Amino acid sequence: MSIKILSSGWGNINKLRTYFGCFSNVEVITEVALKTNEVLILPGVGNFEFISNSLLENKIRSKIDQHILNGGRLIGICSGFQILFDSSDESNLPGLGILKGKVSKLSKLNIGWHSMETNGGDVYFMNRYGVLDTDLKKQNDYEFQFTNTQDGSRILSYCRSEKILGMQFHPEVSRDACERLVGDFIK
Amino acid sequence: MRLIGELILSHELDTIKTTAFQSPVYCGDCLNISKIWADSGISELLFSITRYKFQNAGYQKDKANKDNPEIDEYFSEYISSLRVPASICIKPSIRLCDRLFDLGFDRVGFNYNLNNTEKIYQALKYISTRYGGQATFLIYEMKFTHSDIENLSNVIDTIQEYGVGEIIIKDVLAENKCVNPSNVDVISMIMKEREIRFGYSGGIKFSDVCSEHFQDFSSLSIGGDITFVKQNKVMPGF
Repeated sequence: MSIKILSSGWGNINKLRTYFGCFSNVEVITEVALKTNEVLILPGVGNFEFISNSLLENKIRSKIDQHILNGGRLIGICSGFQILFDSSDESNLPGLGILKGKVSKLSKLNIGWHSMETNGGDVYFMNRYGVLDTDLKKQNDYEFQFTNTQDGSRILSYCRSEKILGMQFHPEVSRDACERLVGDFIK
Repeated sequence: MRLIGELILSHELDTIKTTAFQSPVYCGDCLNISKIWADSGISELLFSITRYKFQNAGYQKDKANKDNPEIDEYFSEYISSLRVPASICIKPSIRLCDRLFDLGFDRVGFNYNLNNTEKIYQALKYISTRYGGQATFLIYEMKFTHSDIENLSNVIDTIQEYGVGEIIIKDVLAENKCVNPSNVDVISMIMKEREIRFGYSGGIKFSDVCSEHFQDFSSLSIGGDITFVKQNKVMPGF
C-alpha cells in the first residue's frame, strides 16, 4: 500500500511528504492513475477556485471520481477537504460533490489550536471558510465531528467513511493528536 | 489567542536581536533557536528576514539590497519536520512564495513598506488566489502618528478585499520596552467591525499574555532570543 500526494499548483507538498512518510511509502504525483490499494491525498493550503480550476484543466476531476468508484481511498486536508463538497462561497466553480453540503465564509479567519472533541488533543486550524453544521447534508456511511471556531461558529472538524477521510485541520502540523485517526484510516 | 515566537533574521539568516528595530546583535543559530521555541509550547514560529547584513564586524542595514537571501536551501530539510506551524516574512517575490509553500511553510507574509506598496499588494493577491487568504499576512510597523493610523485603515480596506486573513501591528516604539496600553486601545478601536484578524507585537512581557487588553487580538508576537522562553516557560497549548 502506498500514499500518493497530488501536486497540482497548490499545497505544502514537502511537509505532507515528510508527515505521510511516517505511515507508508509516499510519492508526489501530478497525474492521477492509482491502484485500488493506494491512498490519494488532496493537500491543503489552497484556494477553492484555484483548486477547482486546476482539477478541471488538468483533467483530474474524472480520475478522482474513477479512483473512488474503483474502491480507492482518499484523504482531503483543509482546502483539499473543502473541494470534496458541492460548492463554496469562495468560488462560483463547483467542488467535486463527493460530500454533500456547502462551504461557507466564516466571519473571520479561524486560526490556532483547538481541542479535538473525541480525544482531547489539540489540532491546528487555519481556515477562512468552513462547513457549518447547518450546511452539511449528512450521509449515512460517514462519521462527522464538529468543532467551535474562535467566534463560536460550529464547523465540521473532520469526517470519515471507509474510503474517505476529510480533515479541516492540518494533521501534518497537529501530529500526535490525530495520529490514530490518520493511522487507522491508512491501514 | 496564539503566541508567536518571532525570530528576526539577518540577510545571512543569523538570529539577531534589535532595540527599537536598531542596533542588532547576534543571538544564535536560527535553526537551534527555533527548535527551542518549538519545544517550548509556542503556538507558531515566525521567521522575519531583515535587511541587516554582517559588515565590518557588525550588522548594518543594507537599504540597497532588494533581494531575499537563499532561504529555500537553508530551510529545506528543517521546515517540513517542524511540529509547530511556521510563517515567514520576506521581501515580495512571487517565485519565492511558491518555493516556500512547497518547502512546507504554512504562511508567507510581508512587511508593509510605503515605497513598495504595489509589489506587496501584488504578492498578497497572488497568495490569496492560489493558496488562500489564510496563508498570508501583513506586518505593519506603527509609530501611531495620525497619518500612520489613517494609512493603516486604507491598507486594511485593500488587503481585506484580497481575503488576507491577518495583519500584525508592530508598535515600533514599544520594542524592548513595555506595552503602551493607549496604543493597544487605538488598535482595538480600528479593529472593530473589521473582518481581518489583528495580531500585536511590541514590548510583550509574560504578564501581558493573559491581559484583558489583548482579548480581541488573534496573536501576540514575542521575539529576539530565547530569554523569554527560559525565564517564563511559555504555557503549553497556548
